[in-house]
Amino acid sequence: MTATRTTEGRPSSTPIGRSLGFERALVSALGVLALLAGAFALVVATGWLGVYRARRPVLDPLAVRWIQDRSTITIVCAIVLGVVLLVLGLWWLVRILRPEPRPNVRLGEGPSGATITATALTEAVRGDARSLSGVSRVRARMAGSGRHRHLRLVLSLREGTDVRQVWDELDRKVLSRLRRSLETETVPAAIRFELERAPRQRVR
Amino acid sequence: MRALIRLIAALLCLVLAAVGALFIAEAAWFLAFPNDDFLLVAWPSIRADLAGIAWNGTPVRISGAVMVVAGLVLLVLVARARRGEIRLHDPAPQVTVTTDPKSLARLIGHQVRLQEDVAKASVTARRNRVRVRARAEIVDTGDLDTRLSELATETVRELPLPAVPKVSVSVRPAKERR
Repeated sequence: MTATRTTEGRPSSTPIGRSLGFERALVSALGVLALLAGAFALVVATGWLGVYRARRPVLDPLAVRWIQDRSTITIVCAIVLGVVLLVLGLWWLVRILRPEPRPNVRLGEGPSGATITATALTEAVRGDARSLSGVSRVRARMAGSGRHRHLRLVLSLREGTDVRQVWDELDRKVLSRLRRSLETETVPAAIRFELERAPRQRVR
Repeated sequence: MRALIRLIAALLCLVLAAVGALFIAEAAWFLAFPNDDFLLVAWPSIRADLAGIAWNGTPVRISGAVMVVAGLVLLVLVARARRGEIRLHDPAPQVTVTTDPKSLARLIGHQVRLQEDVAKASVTARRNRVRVRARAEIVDTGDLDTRLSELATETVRELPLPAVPKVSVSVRPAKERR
């Protein structure tokens, strides 16, 4: 009935967790740099850049003298480089360690619009989701920023729960209600099912 | 793995900032006291050490090799820091639904263990593959593996999965009592 609804249209692009792109780029850059520097050292050491170069000391006296002749420029360069490294390092560190924001939701445009706080919205969703049969625990939060705000929901299901039924009810009961109350066509959301997390519910 | 990448990135930023601060401090010290050699790091002795090592010396080769290996390890870590989440159908536009491989394994494991003649079972699941290893309670396993295979496939098929993972089942008979 509803199973293949998604084959129409594009798959959802709502991210399922915090993006790691920046951190990955940094670590990749470090890896590539280390790889290149190490390979370069090995290339020089094996004499591929000339047998004579391979016999020279690592800190070449020629280079040392060249730098000593230009000590003012060297000092200025060192200070500039130091400032750049310090600022970049601290800026990136703050960016990496900053906790993920929990953005509020804006209803309507302009001064007539209203703001729903992230807490209010997630509380409402949590209440709705908990009423689904088979759901034992609900975690909800807002995530993202700017135009990419979305709801993030983790549903723990009891043993023996029909996953397809919960999946179906989730849209019919929780998400559609949210769409109606926010008066929007789509509510971006990332939902994670944790299956069989609580013992089977006894029927009394 | 993802936490490790974040940790390495944070440490890298910390090191960058520390090196920057050191550069500024040393340069300022040199400007203030040109005759004093250094503030924190013994540059002259490091310089003497480096001037004594040739490019084709063992220390260069060893550190070069270590750096190549470290770079490769970092790149492998980055490549492996991916989510193993299993994607389900989207119930509505812009709604992503996922579950984790462990959940899928638990789901199938519970079903398999509820079957008759199954003593114990272990299930490993990934996005495209589910593997069930079961130990039978009986010596003659008969059609137990087909039954379990059908059960696991059926369980997987009942989930709203866009791509159904392959199921493989292996059953070992009970050990003979002596």
